[in-house]
Amino acid sequence: MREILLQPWPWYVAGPLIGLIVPLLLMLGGKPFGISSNLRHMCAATVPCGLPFFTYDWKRQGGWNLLFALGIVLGGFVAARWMLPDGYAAAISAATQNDLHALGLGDLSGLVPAELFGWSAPDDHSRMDHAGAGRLPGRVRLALGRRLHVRSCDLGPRGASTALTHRRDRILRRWSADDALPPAAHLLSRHA
Amino acid sequence: MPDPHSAVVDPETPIAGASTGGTRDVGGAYFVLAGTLLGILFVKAEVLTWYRIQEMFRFQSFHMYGVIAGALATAMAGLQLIRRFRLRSWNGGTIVVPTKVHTPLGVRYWAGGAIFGLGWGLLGACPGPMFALLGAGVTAITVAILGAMAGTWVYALLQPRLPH
Repeated sequence: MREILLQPWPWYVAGPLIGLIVPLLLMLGGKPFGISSNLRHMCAATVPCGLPFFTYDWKRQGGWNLLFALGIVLGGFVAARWMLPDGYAAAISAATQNDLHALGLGDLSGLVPAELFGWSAPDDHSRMDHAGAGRLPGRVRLALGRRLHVRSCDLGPRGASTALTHRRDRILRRWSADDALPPAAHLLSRHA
Repeated sequence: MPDPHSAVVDPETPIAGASTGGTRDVGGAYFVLAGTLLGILFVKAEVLTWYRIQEMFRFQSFHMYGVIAGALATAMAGLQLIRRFRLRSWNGGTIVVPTKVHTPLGVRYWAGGAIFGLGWGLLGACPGPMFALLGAGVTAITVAILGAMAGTWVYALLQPRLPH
């Protein structure tokens, strides 16, 4: 029983259960399933700016939908905290794992790759030192900019700082050569 | 009974679930609970993992297609039951399934769908899982939520000039 609660469910169990939310919402109050409308309600509540698309009573018409979204946030909290095994990693196919490794992602555990979904700037030294010494051996992220780069640079913990500087210079040169805007230049030069 | 507050200013894009015709309001807690259930299912189905979305868009597994097809099947069956037996909602309202807006070229569907897909592929999450990820502790997803709001806002601004 505990196993069933902790492990992800196969598609033929979880998929049909997700679909049942549609009739459930209709039975609850005639509400048609939808989540994207919340983006409209959130804009209408905060930055309507007189636009006709946002001119409606968002509390009355979108209130239920916003509560539904709040519930989804809660559900994500509950399930991620208590309904997944320790060290969870999605059981994706070997082909996908290979592709993602080839893109430079080292750690494929968790719900999202920590290398992409973090608050630290891509060339944050504290993170790099951490990474070099820890579970993300020598990877450099450069996730901001005009293009999304995820590359492996094979940096050691001590070499990170100089190698990053070189990399930054190379990138800035290339961008100025392309006469394009430098990709988040302020982020790249933060540690200069 | 016409409801003065539910007057939709923009008839092109009606607000989902705006009026129910129910005799009383259903408590908001039920919608929170329904959302919680869905959030948990997103985790159990692995729909909110970035990795499954990558796998889906690379056509490397059946998993996501199975989830989507399974969800479509029960949702359609549920709708049919509600239609056939003319079921009423808990608050006594008649259930009206909103009809889709049809335009000759259906630009809103194929162009909108394509733009949606671009965002889905870039971010690795669609709107529902975005909120579930926030709850799961991936706080950086707020950047994506704000970005999605910005996109919605730009749509509102350009709406009169866009083909539908």
